[in-house]
Amino acid sequence: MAKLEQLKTAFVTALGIEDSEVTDSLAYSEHAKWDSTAHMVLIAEIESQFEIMLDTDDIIDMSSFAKAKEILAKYELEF
Amino acid sequence: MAKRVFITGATGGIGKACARLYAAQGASLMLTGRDSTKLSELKSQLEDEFAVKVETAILDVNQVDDFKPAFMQVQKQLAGLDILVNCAGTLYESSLMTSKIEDIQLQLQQHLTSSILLAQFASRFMVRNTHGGSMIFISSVVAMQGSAGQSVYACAKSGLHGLTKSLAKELGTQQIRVNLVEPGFIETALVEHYSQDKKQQIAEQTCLKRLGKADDVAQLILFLTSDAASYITGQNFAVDGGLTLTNGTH
Repeated sequence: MAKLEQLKTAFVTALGIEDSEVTDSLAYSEHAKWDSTAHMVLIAEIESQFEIMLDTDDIIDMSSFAKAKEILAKYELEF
Repeated sequence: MAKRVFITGATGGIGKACARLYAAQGASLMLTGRDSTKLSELKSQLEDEFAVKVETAILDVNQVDDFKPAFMQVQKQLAGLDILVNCAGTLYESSLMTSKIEDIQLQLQQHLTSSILLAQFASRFMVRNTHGGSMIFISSVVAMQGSAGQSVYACAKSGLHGLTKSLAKELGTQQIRVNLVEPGFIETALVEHYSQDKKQQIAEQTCLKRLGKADDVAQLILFLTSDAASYITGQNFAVDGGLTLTNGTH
């Protein structure tokens, strides 16, 4: 649960959005603030928060909050 | 806070000169290269002389799989990154007709693809900094001037111009600066196979009538990555003693 909150915080911080906007349906290019620049900031924030280094394919695939949880499970992070 | 600097090709001529200058400034260093023995020797020398934190990692820029582990070391050992200096690379000399496909692809990987990968990894650290960061790529005067027998090398190096300017635009909002340095004829291992006569001939073509030293290039890199250059991005700078000026290309 703590990790889920940590991930939500990463999204809030990186995208500059409200906590309530971070739901599974939050998706890249569909939210006005989640553009290519924000995606770079988001990746940096997630890597910093969880002290991991994502593979490029995972950075490309991280197209929604739900997908982010799925991808991070590969890095031994359970949500 | 000490600047955290990642240098590729750190045991080569320009890479080593950069490492010494940054160490003298008290920077924390991640030195990378292909030869662990040479890296260890350089680490010991710098730590003894300057009392700075020096870490090393194996990174052969021809090996795509080497990049991620090297940057994981940055996370572990330096906890962030402020400066990337990409010095790795070899000079490939072959006529058009005798350039092998393997060598052509290797030059493109070594100079171009590697620079893109380095920028991808380094930017992910620099974005975390409120002050951003600074990247330096090393091109060559032959990129714009051309050189018979160096078409593949010149081609790979000229691609760095587009990369530098595009990244300056793409990363500028995050305060990440990207600049390109174009050395002329610098006396390093890269050109030690040149005869003395040939070297003298090239020296005579420069305005300053001498060949360059690795330190001449490193001093510019140190400046461009310093706070004194905080409004400079997307630019290319020749360090060539006026060689391109006398050849009429600048």
